[in-house]
Amino acid sequence: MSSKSIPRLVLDGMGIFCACTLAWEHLFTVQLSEGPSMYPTFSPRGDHLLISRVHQRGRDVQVGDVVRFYHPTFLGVHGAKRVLGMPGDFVCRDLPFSTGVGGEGEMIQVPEGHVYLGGDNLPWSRDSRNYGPIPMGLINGKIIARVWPPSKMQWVQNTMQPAQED
Amino acid sequence: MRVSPNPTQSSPTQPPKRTPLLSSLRTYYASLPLPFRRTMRTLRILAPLVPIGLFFSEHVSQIMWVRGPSMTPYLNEDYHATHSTSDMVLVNMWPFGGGGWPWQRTRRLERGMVVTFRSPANPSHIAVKRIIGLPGDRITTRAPCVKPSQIVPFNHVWLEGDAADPRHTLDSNSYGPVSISLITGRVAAVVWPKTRWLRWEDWEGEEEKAGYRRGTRERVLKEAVQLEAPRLH
Repeated sequence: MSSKSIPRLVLDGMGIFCACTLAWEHLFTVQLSEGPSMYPTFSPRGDHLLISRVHQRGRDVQVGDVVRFYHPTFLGVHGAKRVLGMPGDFVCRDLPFSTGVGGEGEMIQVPEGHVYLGGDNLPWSRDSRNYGPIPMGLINGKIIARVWPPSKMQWVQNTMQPAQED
Repeated sequence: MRVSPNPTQSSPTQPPKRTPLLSSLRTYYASLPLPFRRTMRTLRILAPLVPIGLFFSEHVSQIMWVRGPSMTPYLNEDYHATHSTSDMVLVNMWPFGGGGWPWQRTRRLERGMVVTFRSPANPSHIAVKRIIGLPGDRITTRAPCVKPSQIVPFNHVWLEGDAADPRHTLDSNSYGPVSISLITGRVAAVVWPKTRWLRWEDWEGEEEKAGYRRGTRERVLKEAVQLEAPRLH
């Protein structure tokens, strides 16, 4: 305590707190998932996920990435879904909670600056089939790995495949 | 004849002297010139101010410049005269309204507030518009909108620019109701060129009496439907 005064300690503490918050908001976040919408990619009981905040606002996001976003209809709630369509893509907007894909529904073009999202567990997912394409400004990160439990620690794979021509 | 002193032989009882990395660095630092060391000490004291400043500008308050004619004459008053005017505004970035705290997860938004939000069409662009309608309001839309009227859904607001000519503003009439999650801050004051506080109460107070943007207020039917929070799961 001789060399450092109390105000300097307070200043350093605030600086460290703000730097950690900025890193948490702009580099990496770890969060517990919940809900069945991304089964079997994530457990319905919840997994701890590593989220890259560098990809927020849809920067460098591709079709097939799992992104976390501010829910458009609930303030302060995050969702995690897979990107199915980028701006300009044509996607089939199925009926909400439909079990299959490409059945009844309409073809829409994803508007500029929006993405079309879908859960992996189609009948249990509320996604763009309900609320339509969402603005990229709502995306706040890309989920890159599952870090806990350690037995299931792995990178999140981009499971989308190019369409097969018959 | 020269004798080179050997430390192990001269003091056999003491362990050989180590030079740890930290203390050698300290010795090296002490050998640097004094003005350099003085500058480094000042920088070390000021270093925490950088993250504190960034945190402040992201979460508390921020200065922004408004470009374009969409809020004329409320902001950029003489835009049509010069076309290069750009008001400097103070934006309140604290996302929780009133005396709110982070855990309350509410946001105080009122008709007449001027807010900044990420443009739905271009995520890297931050736009400034006025809140015209809150969730549950029925809006009679204007020019570029394809629907004649629109009910603002839950957790969305209807935003419009103040420009009288709808061609000068790109707002909810083009891209529909905007999610409250996209809103980043509220414009609190104009810093330059005409310093003044902006009070959202004036929208239904003094400005209504003065007849400012009367047509816009008349296109809003307040609380036309009672919205319930949709179920999360």
